[in-house]
Amino acid sequence: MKSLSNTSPLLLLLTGVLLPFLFTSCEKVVEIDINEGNPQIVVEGILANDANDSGIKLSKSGSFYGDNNFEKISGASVSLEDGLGNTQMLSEVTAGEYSLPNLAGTPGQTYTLKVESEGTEISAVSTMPTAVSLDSLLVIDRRAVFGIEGFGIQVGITDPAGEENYYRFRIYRNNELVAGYTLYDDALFDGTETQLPLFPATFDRGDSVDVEMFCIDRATYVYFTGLQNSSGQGLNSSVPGNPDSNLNGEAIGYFGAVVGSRRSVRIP
Amino acid sequence: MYKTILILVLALAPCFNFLPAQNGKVTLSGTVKDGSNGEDLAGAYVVVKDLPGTGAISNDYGFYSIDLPPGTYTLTYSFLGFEKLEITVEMQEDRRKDAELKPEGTTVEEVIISAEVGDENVTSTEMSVARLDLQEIKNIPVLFGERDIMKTIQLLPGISTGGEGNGGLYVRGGSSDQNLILLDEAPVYNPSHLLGFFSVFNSDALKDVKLYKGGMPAEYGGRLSSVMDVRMKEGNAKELDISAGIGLISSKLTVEAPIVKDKGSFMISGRRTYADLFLKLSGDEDLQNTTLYFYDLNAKANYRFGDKDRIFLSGYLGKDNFGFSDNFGFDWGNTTGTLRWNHLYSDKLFSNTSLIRSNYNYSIDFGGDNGAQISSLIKDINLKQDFDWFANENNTLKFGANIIHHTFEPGEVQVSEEGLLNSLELEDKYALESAVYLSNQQKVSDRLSLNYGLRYSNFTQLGPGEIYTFSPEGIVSDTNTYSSWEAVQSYNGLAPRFTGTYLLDGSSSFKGSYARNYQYLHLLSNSSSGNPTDVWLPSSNNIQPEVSDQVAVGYFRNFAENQYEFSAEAYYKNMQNVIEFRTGADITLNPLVEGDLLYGKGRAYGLELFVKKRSGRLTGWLSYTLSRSERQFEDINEGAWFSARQDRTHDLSIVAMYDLSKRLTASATWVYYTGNAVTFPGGKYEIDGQVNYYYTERNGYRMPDYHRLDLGLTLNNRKTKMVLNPETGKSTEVPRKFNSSWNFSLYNAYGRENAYSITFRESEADPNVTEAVQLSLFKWVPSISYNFNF
Repeated sequence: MKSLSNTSPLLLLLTGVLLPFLFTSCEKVVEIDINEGNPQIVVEGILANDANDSGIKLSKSGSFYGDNNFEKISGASVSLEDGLGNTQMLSEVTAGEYSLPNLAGTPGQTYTLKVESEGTEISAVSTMPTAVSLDSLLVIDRRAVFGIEGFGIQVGITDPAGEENYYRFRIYRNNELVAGYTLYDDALFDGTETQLPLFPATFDRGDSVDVEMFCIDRATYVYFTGLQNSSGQGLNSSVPGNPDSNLNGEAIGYFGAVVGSRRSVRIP
Repeated sequence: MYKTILILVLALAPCFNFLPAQNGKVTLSGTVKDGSNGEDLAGAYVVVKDLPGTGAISNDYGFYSIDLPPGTYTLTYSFLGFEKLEITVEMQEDRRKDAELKPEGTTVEEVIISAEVGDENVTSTEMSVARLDLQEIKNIPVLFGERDIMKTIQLLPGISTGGEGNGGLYVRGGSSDQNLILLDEAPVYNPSHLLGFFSVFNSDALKDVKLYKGGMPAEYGGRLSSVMDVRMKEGNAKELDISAGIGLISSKLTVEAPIVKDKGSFMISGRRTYADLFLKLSGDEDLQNTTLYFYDLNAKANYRFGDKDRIFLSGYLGKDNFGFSDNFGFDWGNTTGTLRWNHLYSDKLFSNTSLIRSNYNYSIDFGGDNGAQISSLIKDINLKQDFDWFANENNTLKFGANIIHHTFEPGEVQVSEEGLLNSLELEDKYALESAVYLSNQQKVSDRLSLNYGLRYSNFTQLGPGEIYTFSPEGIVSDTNTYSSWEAVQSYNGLAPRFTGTYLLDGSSSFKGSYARNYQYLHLLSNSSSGNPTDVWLPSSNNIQPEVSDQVAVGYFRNFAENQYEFSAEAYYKNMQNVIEFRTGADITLNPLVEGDLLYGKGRAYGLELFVKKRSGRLTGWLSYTLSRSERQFEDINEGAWFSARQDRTHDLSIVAMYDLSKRLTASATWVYYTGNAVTFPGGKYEIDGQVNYYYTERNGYRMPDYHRLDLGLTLNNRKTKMVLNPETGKSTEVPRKFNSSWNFSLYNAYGRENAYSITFRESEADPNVTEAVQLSLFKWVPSISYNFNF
């Protein structure tokens, strides 16, 4: 479904092309008086089937006009419990980042994250979804498809039939993460071998492209959809708000059990 | 339901009968028309000069009826913008008398028109009504010179805009889906073109626009905040009339002519924009490949069969088309059709039967031949019966019923080639919406007039389909299967309506009103400005009808022999079951969308002041609204009241038109309003290596105040020409058949950079810090248009 909502950014892009042409628009930086909220605990918890992708990051939200070096939360107690009653205490690997050398989960299992920091207790539950592999990564000439300059990419996957699957993609252009969130649910391609275009990233000749795909559960999907939809008072944007989160306790962020896979390609 | 009808009848049934004459009286009836083109005049006053206090007001089709004791009378017919007409009639038996009024200013001799203006605004029981005179608004400067009733009506008190590029109307703190917008009785589900910059109403095709902000008469219902009743021209019944306009972004052509003189006529009007033709001239290949236009087509015909019957057929078709090479296409549009039959059962009982269709749909095509199409639609079929009964000199009753069958296709995806994507179709939804009403316009004494009524409505969600029930958290808790026409859920609403006018003296009055409204259809929009892809959903087992109660009081006064009109109104509106989305809700193609809704309460109150100068070389008005509109949801802002987006503390409009000479009119409008309530972040944090914003309060901030000055100049050709009479050798002045005008306008004359949006981003200079960026549109937009008719 997200794929189709993504036509709306495309529409906005078109409007963006046309508005300046039709009308005399202008853009300027303005000062807005912000009522700063209290700093919040931010949890970014990922348990993957591969230890390289797993880790729990704890930080604090910062002042709006402050810089983007957010305070890390050290010295928290972080534990993970699997569905069989086994609990593992995570250790702080670097400041604010908690993990274990072999921290990995199994698809189908349900995990509970528990965090305690400065007297605040936070917990969250997530079930690791079915593993779906990234079959292919193709380059598409956008001129041929959309009539727009540049190249796009699409991935091929085989979606398991009869269950709800959710996907999140991270796209890197020349080793740099492309901003924005690319999400899909399988309502339109349940059980098919399909090709998914990855908006909104565009590439030029010679770019190296790395794509990471994560199979995520519904709560994580809802969380990222919320982040994506509430990015500000833009053209036609929705009313911004904090995304629905699966965390219990005074914190923002999410905990998701995910299954990752990757592919790379170079734009010819 | 029958019980309610019975109560309705009993409650309002004074002892009347339908017999044409009573107590030895005779009935005078007829139609009031515009003498220049035969158009009916709705709301014209017919006053019996010899019997002060006796008279009638013509109905929507120009029909009036008065009971009189036998005798000889002088009648005065009047209508705003027309010269008064006096007729003497000898009344010994029932008679028909049609009256044709001349539009003011058509009499050649007058230099400055001494307009016949009335005091209807003071004396009538209508209050909280905004009316546009389509002749008058011709001179008001507008964006791109594209005359637009939806934009102009926002210059009146209590009606505000959502901002530039927002097609919505916000009436007395209500949201933009709470307006019942009717075009010849057919609901228009999306009144916007080009993402909100223009409305679907081509003013050349329109005759009358009236917007009820409160105190709606009982014949209207279905939306919480307002009724906008737009009527198309019937077409010139006297002679062929062609008018056309050429503007910067669109051209239009209207043809009107009699079918049989004074018996029937037709009107057909079309408009198309050509912005895309400019795109073709662009050097940029991407722009050349872009399609972007809209068009409207309005058509209407009417014919009288004998004295008692008349048939009208009218239709509207409008479409927006947005495309990019062969691979992306997006079009949307409304279609409406109305078939009406007027019938006189007696000189006192007027009937109108309407069969109405409305349709709104959009479709998005992408990916070319191997691609897919997403589409959605809402369509109605509506049967409506209305009666106007001119019972006696003090009571005019209206009663009727209607039934609408709604079909909703919330969304479907069709793929040309199965494989990559599956086709998907959300289940169609069906509903029946029906209503009966009865109201009476009663003259209690010379000073006191009342209009009171009841409207009873029913809304039934129908099968077939799998119907989900959602828990308060938005999770499916139950699924039931219903068969065709099986009732899933039914709601009833009894809506009392009341307005009263008490004349304080000859030129001032005090008015009060109360109206309850039920709304069974809800527009789901997750954007602030409205999108063509917004979806209408019916009330259901999960979605309760929205309900509003509004009280308003007002003081109305005219000065200087009705040259100046003044009104002050205060209102309070309470709203229940208003709808918002959960954060991040997905409305496109979401079968579980009802689980993503939140329900809350609303309240709106305000004071509206209005002064208008109606005649002389300088005309215009000043309108000011002081208001507040708030919402309360359990899950938003921790249950505290917050400002609705359209909450406007101050809203001021000044409109002035000045006749520099007989041919030249200058005009100016100035608007000022408090910025929309918006949500800005109160902090930021990092997820996935990206900066995200943290929000602390809903709509806790304000966009900057908005103000703008527009200027206009209209140059008309000479209205008359000199004709030499060869017999007498004298020249006489006669009106020209060909009339034309040039219209120049400058939008945003002092180039104020009003904020269209404020967004946040990482600073270009230092990506480590965040900055706020304001986007402004339309700094000085000049335009020119040329209009002519013959």
